[in-house]
Amino acid sequence: MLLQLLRLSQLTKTFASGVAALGPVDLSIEAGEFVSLVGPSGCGKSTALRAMAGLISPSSGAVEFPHGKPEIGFVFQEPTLMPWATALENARLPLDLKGVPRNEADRQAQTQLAMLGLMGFENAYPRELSGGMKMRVSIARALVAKPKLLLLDEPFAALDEQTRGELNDDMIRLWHGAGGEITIVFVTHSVSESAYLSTRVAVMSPRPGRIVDDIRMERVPHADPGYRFTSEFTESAKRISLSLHRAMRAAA
Amino acid sequence: MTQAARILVPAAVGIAVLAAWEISVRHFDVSPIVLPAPSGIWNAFVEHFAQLMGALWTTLRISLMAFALAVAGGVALAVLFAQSRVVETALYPYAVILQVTPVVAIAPIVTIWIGYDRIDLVLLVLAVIVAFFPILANTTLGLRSADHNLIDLFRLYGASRRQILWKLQFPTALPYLLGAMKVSGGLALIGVVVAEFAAGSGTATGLAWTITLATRELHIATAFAALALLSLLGIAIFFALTALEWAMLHRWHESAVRREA
Repeated sequence: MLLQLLRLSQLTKTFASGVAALGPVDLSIEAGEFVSLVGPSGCGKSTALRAMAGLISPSSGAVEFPHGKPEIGFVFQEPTLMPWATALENARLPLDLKGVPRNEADRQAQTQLAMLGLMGFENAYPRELSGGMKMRVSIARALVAKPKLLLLDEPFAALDEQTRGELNDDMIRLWHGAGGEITIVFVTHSVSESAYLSTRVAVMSPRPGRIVDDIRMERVPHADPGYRFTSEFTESAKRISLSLHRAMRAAA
Repeated sequence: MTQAARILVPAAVGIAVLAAWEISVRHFDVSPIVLPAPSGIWNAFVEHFAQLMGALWTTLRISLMAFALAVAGGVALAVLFAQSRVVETALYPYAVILQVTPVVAIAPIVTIWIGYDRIDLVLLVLAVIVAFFPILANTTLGLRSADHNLIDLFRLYGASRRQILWKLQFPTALPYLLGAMKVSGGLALIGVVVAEFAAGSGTATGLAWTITLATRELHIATAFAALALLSLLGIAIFFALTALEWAMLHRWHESAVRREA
């Protein structure tokens, strides 16, 4: 965990409408971290994530990858699937766009779907899938091109608690399985989700969002739902929660 | 309502109306010049079968060609519009002007330009003008309706403009295009008919001109037979395009989803 993967320096974003959405933000992320960006809605955390992906250009400051730009996977708040394409065709999309031969792309997409528990649903269309399954297809699509950096924008906000818990554990297993080869930046407004998932929580202030606290978690994340009922978890959540409250009060 | 009843009930209504029509005409001894009986129309149809089929073929052929050209041209221009706001801003007002100008008003001018010796081409041009706009307007809207997050995703994976167009914008626009085709298919037929009335007949005699001639000669039954063929043609076009829409969308589109009440 010594390799610096990503650095935001004095990053700001002001939209054409004149709304100052973000920053300035300074944040350095090392390879293999699982970082949650937590903040109130509208604080610019999604904007920061999109800037990391290069989907929007900063108004000032920079997004830098000191060791070269890694392969990036992105998961949106909505599943954002192509309704005319099957689960397999959706999961295969990044490989299709890169010109990977069809057979190879199919094989990799199939493997990825199976890892996310979607074996047998390869030929289902999105409208035939539940919300949780659609999100799994979306995650499979993000993973199929073997990203080194996985960016998730409140991916589970619209799901029920049960499904959300399952997907949280899936994320942790995935992160463990990559053995430090994958870095995850996870945007959420949920304190408990960030406390459960991450190695590190960056707390953001209301708009224009800045990072007001940078909390390194003592525990390495594990897929263990029971952890949510331990005093250690409560302490972590409390720490993040208080930090958020301070940021809100300071802005009010 | 069962599938059979959905066909049988309206069919029974149709037969009842035809029977009432037949009986009334006979009972009140209505002149065939005012209103021919269904049997009289059928006799006229049999008598002029070859002529009517020739006219049907002319109208059908020109309608289909006009429709095909309207779809091809409308989609091509929509692609251009979707690629460039400048092109759209420059050309869209003229597309609208072409659409809102009544086709009967431009028919005489187009006829003079193209010539009385090529009436089929006149009909084709006028029908294309009528059928073109819904394709253009809807396809442009459809191409622009692609999910912005999906566009971002395509860009993230280095998709070219062509890939975005083919793999994202076209599929998004497909339901819009198919909806527009149902409107345009009918409009192409209407365009040919109106153009025939307006441009007259030199080298092409379609169903509309058949009606004109038949009414001039007081062969009202023949006119009715031609009219019936026109209706059947319109219905056939509508059903063919509805079937096409179903074939292309039923697996994935919300419009094809049947919900339990």
